[in-house]
Amino acid sequence: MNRVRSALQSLRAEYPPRFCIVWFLLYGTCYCVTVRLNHNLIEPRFGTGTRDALFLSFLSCFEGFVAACIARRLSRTARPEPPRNGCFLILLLKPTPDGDAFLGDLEQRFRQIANDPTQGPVRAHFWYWFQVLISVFAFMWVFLKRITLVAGLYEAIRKAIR
Amino acid sequence: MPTAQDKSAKHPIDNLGSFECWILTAVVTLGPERAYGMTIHEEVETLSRRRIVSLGSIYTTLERLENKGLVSSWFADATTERGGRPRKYFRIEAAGQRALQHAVNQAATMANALKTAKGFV
Repeated sequence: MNRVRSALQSLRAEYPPRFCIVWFLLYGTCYCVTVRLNHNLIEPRFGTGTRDALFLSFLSCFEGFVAACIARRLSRTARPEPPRNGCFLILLLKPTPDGDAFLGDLEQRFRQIANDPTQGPVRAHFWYWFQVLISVFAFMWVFLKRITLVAGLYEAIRKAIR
Repeated sequence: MPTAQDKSAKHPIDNLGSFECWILTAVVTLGPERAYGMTIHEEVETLSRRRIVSLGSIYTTLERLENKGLVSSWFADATTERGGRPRKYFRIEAAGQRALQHAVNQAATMANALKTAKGFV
């Protein structure tokens, strides 16, 4: 009984629930694509035979392997630390000290979400990257306005109208 | 370098956009002790009932308002919960209060006009 329990514990440590969910979603998508591919392309050309069944089995195994690799990578990278690439991207467009204050705000909220038991680090990563990507557009627009002198032109027109 | 007072004297009342109004309202409701980027972001999300508000757009709008002399800012000490990064606090200036009051008056005038209009629910 103890051996079974320890085996289950090691299995749980090796394959945490997050890994299983991500794997299931990825593999489910791959399976649907395979079925569609078989229905539209393979069956009309080759018919249903042993060779096709073997081919599809092999393809499914390969998809499962790829999905497991991606899921493992995702579950291991979900650490309670903000992603460095996101920080770098922000600092490129928003120099210090404003960029530092902005990143501090992001990090504070990231830690709140990551430490919340109902949310966790995966959601925190998702939130962080989502905010970085939508904020990059805002910063880039300001940067483009500055370098193309659109802002100056706009202000001149506005003052002329007033 | 012109000060905030010089800028406000140059432009007595600035017409504010909708997002600028939300941000100034959040700065006023939070007060100078609590109004920094993240709290303003949360307050704007709550007040405007928008599900997605970009923190970057909050910062760019606050920067624009600061350049207009409607708000002023200062940096606080860095804390460990923010990875050693400082907070940037914001406070509304007199010109900002006037501009916000002007926007509120305009909205009230529009609301009164629409109350008497036929066919507008």
